[in-house]
Amino acid sequence: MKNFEEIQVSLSELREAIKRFYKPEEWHFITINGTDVGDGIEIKYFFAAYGKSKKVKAFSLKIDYNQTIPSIRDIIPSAWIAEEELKDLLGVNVEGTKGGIFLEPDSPQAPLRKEVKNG
Amino acid sequence: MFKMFLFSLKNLFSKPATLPEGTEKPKQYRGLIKYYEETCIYCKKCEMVCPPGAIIFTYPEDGSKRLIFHYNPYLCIYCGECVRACPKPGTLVQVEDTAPPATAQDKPNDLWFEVEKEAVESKKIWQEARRKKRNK
Amino acid sequence: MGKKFVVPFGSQHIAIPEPIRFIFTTENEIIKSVSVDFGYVHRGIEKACMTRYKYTQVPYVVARVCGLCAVSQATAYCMAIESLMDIEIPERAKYLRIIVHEMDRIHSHLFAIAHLSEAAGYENLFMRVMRDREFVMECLEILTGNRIQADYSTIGGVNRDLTKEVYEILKPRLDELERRLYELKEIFERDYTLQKKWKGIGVITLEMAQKYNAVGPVARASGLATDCRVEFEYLPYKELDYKMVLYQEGDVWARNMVRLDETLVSIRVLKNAIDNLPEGDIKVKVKGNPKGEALIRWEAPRGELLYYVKGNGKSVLERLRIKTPTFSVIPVMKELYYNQPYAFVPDITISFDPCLSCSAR
Repeated sequence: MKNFEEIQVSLSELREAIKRFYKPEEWHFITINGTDVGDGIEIKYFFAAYGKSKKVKAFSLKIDYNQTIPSIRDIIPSAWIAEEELKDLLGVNVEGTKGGIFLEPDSPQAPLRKEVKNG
Repeated sequence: MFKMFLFSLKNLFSKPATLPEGTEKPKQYRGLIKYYEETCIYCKKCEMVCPPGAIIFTYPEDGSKRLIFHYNPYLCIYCGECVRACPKPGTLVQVEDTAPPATAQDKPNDLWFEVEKEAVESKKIWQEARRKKRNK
Repeated sequence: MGKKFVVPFGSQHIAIPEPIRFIFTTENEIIKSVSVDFGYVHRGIEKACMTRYKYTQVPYVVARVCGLCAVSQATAYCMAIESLMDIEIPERAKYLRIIVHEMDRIHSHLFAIAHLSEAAGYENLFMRVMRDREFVMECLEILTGNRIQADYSTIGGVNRDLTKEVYEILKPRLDELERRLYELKEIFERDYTLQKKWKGIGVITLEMAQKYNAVGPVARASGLATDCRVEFEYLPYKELDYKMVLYQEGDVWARNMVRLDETLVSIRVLKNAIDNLPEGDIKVKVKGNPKGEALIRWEAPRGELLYYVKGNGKSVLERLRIKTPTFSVIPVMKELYYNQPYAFVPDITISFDPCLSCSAR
């Protein structure tokens, strides 16, 4: 049973949607999650409301493997760490990430992709 | 600050807080798994639920139903999942001892890899033997 | 304008035994720029949970993400799967989960407090706190059968019951622990050196905590009221007289006091839970495979823990996402160093109680 609200956005309107929605006093930005669904990557931006509201909202979009997604770190400054993780573990191109924080250069690249087999 | 100074002075003359070596473990401490073959029905449920894969059954060559139980105490995480999964209570029992540290002579890894390989290979031989028996 | 110096902190540093690397550029002792690197210990636990282990085995795998909050990890995962599969667990199991979880919080917080006083150069206090921590470790050992890896929660309930004999042992121990915690609180509140060392150092304002989305004791020390135990009612914390601890100062001292006060709240919750334990089963049977997606926000000792699970009807999950608390406080930690003297760095870092191995997973 799904226990959070999901809002579908497209790649072009993602930044605009988050900018309109996000207020630091009301919403707590949790993290960005990427899932390899087989024919692309599903990305979800999770937000939770402060206070006793039990509310979690997710902005979700699906991209191809080689598409670039815009960075939101100027809207939410703490998002850089989640974006770096997306870059390192799933190989998603995010604007402005340098990579190499979660993985070392000699480790397998983008290990959470489906084509990487567990060795 | 003064209180802490007094506390340090008191500590100089008090017994150490650490437990001495050889202190008994509390009752129902989770430790190694013991296997009693008499009641086993070879359902392999324990092998299926074991998270680290510390239980493996290998197959006898003659095709009989008595599988051979292998247990790796160094791989076991003492979670007790096998004991809870076992349909015949008393076959698997969790005791309070833990595994002694493995030394190089024990070859804990190499021996276990052989068992893992044997489990795959012996299954084929066992199935072959079963088929022959049935055809007779 | 002084000369610029580059000072590395980590990846191995005496103040913090976990691998994180900061590179500070300082000007006359004052830090002007920071770069951070961690993830030296990426173990691929998420990948293993998505390829190798069945979803019923995963609680025992994710418990190995972190030693100090092993109970929280496993409990959060179990609750995520339960809300995905619509399983209602027995009331007694909920209470038992609270008991073990709060014990876990006490020992983790006491460890953090001890570590912080060690970084302040107060070895004597470090040993005292660690000695008192041993009490709760023994309680955990009696109840769950192991000191660190409790392996207590499982999907559908808990693995062990709290019997009458265990209750008889636990009850006096908890009273004794409470007495010692009050003594500790008195020391921390009154101690002259610690006040000098910690008050007014590394201040996170409320705006900063909101801007950088701080979690857990770090946020609560800055007056940001965020606590998943209050916000979500997976477990009946309300019935057990739980109250959120809030401090307004936002400095190292406040973060330490939040932890100390939380141990006292935990003790109260624990005693209420042990005394009012409902009768009944501790486990329900679980059948079928997970399908769909669900997430859980859960309050681990260090702050908000997120478990996101996605199943596709097979016994192996399609996606398991673990967001650990330290992962969320690293941005605010990085921001805090600007314009601080280098000498404050160990205290500030340890006041966050960082757990890098869990962030790297």
